[in-house]
Amino acid sequence: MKITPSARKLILGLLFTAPFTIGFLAFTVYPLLASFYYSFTQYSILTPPKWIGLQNYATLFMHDDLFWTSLGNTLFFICLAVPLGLTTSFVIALALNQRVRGMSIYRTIFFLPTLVPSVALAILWLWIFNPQSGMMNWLFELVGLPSLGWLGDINLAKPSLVLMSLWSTGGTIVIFLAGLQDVPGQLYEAADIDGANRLQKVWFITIPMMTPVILFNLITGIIGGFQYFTEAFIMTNGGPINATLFYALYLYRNGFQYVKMGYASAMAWILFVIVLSCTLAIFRTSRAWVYYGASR
Amino acid sequence: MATRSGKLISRRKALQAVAVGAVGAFLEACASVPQTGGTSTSNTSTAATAGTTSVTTAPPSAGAVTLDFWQPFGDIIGKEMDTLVKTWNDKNPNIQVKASFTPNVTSAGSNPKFLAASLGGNPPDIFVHDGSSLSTSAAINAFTPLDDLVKSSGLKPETYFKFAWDKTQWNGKTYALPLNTDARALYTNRKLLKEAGIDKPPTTIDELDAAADKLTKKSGDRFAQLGVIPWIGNWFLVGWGWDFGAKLWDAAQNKISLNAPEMVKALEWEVGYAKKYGVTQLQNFQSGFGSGANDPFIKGQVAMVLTGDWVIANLAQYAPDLEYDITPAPYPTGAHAMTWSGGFVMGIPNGSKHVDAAWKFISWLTSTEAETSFAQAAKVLPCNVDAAKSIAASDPLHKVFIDLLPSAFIEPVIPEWSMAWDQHVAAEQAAILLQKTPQQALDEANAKVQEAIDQRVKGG
Repeated sequence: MKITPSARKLILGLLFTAPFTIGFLAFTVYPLLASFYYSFTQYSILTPPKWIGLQNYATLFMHDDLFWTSLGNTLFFICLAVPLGLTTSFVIALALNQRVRGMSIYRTIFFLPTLVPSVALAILWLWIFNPQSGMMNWLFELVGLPSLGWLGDINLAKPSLVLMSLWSTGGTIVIFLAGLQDVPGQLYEAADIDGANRLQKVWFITIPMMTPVILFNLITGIIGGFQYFTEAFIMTNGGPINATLFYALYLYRNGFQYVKMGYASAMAWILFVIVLSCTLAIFRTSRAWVYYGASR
Repeated sequence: MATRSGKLISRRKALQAVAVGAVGAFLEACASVPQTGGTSTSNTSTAATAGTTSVTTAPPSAGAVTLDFWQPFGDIIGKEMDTLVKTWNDKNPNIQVKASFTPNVTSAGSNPKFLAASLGGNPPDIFVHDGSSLSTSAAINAFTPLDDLVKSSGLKPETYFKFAWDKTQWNGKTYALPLNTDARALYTNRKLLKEAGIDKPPTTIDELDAAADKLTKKSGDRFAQLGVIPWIGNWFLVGWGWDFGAKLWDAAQNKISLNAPEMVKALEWEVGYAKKYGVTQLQNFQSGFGSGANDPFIKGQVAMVLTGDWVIANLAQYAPDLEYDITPAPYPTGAHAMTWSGGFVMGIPNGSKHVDAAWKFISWLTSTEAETSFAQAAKVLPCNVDAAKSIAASDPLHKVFIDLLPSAFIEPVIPEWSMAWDQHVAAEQAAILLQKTPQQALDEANAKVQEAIDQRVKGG
């Protein structure tokens, strides 16, 4: 049989992409579909799954108050951590975009915390938050504020974790920084000629030009927020009184501690739908506020 | 592992393993390190160092088998386990054991790595399981029933303490052998008690309350020293519940009673401390506690603490000069001394190709000889009665705990216990922080766990 050059090219191309394609099918697509199937079953990992229809979903929505607690905790965290994280990293990126001597050192300093493994970071922050001997209360007392219970306080546990999340915004800062350097210089020159001040330049030039980058960081921030796990797992294990029981932590408990993999799969799919709708909603609104330089 | 598996695993199994592995991989990417502290029911479940140690010495002859042995102990206990394995390997060239350190990721419940390996059809030949949640794994057929081997080898259940044997049972079958255990009692700081004019450690709850008041000191509006905080250490609400006389599990009716009247009473008594000392002030004091050399008992921040036998080793290491007593937990008037015990059990996973060899190894590991040397060197409590006797004869501190073992309570042997544990901890916290009344918190927790039990019982 003769192979035409174009068919040959196609086969070669497929062969070259095969490692990825096979890996993707076996380790991403299949598990994804399988977990969808398992979400309709009672599945304890080692025994064959038993079809129970929508029962997992019904239990989650109607009977499981911890499901709602964990979802509420996660949304609370996202609503606080994402805007704060974006603002902080944007401001830091602006500062790091100045032409000052030794700038690369400053940039390195702000990126370094991101390189600390999250587990080490969690242990470090356990010390910082220690109400008796921790740095936070030491600082508070220095300026005459009352010391707080931080992670042990049911009202403060989540805000404490939000505060901690600002520590590792290095990745976001780098993305913002790259975006900032793409803002055309002539726009600022034109603004200078028109007599605009610094704040006006940020508001009328930098922010509009940066909206695609903000959109990207917003979406990845929200997705990351929904998957928030490590710190809560290590530092608080969901406590006090489930105040830091986040969605991923509760999913983990169900799947691996209570061996209710079907139930955990249902939770994963609900999370998927929530994340998908959030992302779609943001994309919808983005038409109104995101400016793409190329599509005039 | 082509060398070890005799037959190929089925495609279905392999794909299932991939699916479960993917969820695990996602979460493990988030956290691949054992949890430290938290609500661990056992001191030995986590370890500071990670890594794999393999111990093989004598050259295996033809026909020799190599057993894969996953054990969760690090530090000193892990080292002593390796020593034991080496002793076995030297004596048994035909059954070589390869020990791998497999820390438990969570304090209770199944181990994800073990589940994934079992699902993939390639489990270890021996797995050391957290004793309080063995039934969670037994209920999903993760382990081979050992009853025939027990019978044919002539092993007597009375070799071990009854509570330890009870932990290995599920649905009328034996799924493991008890490896080691622990026990809890009251540690009191001799110097602080003397300063407060208390001449002997409290034995009843009333005496404990009185001693606690005398031992509590304030400087300004902050605590400088507390007599006792019922919920620190390693006693937990279940400990007080049993102490007050609660029965948590009715096997005949499949009924759990986290809200038994005695549990409610115990929690109300705990809440009394929260009210007496002030929730916020207690919390502030408590969250300043350190670990290791900065342990609150070592630092004299609390004069009395209910915790486990493993603390003896910690005190010897960090505070060799500290003078203290160990006595049974104080109990309500009219009751008697008791303790409660956790620990580890050892089973042969379903799918092991060397069941007989594995049985030989685990029955040796739980023999009086091996248990005695392990317990002596690693400072753990043996489940083997004769081994415990010989430890008690030579070690007066551990003797206090060993004497309590015959009256030890164990956590209910039900697959839902891991969930019940989380629920009971949250209920205890909610009551102590005065968010819910003890009755309300425990009723809610109990209903939730009972629902899960009913679902399993109904599902068959």
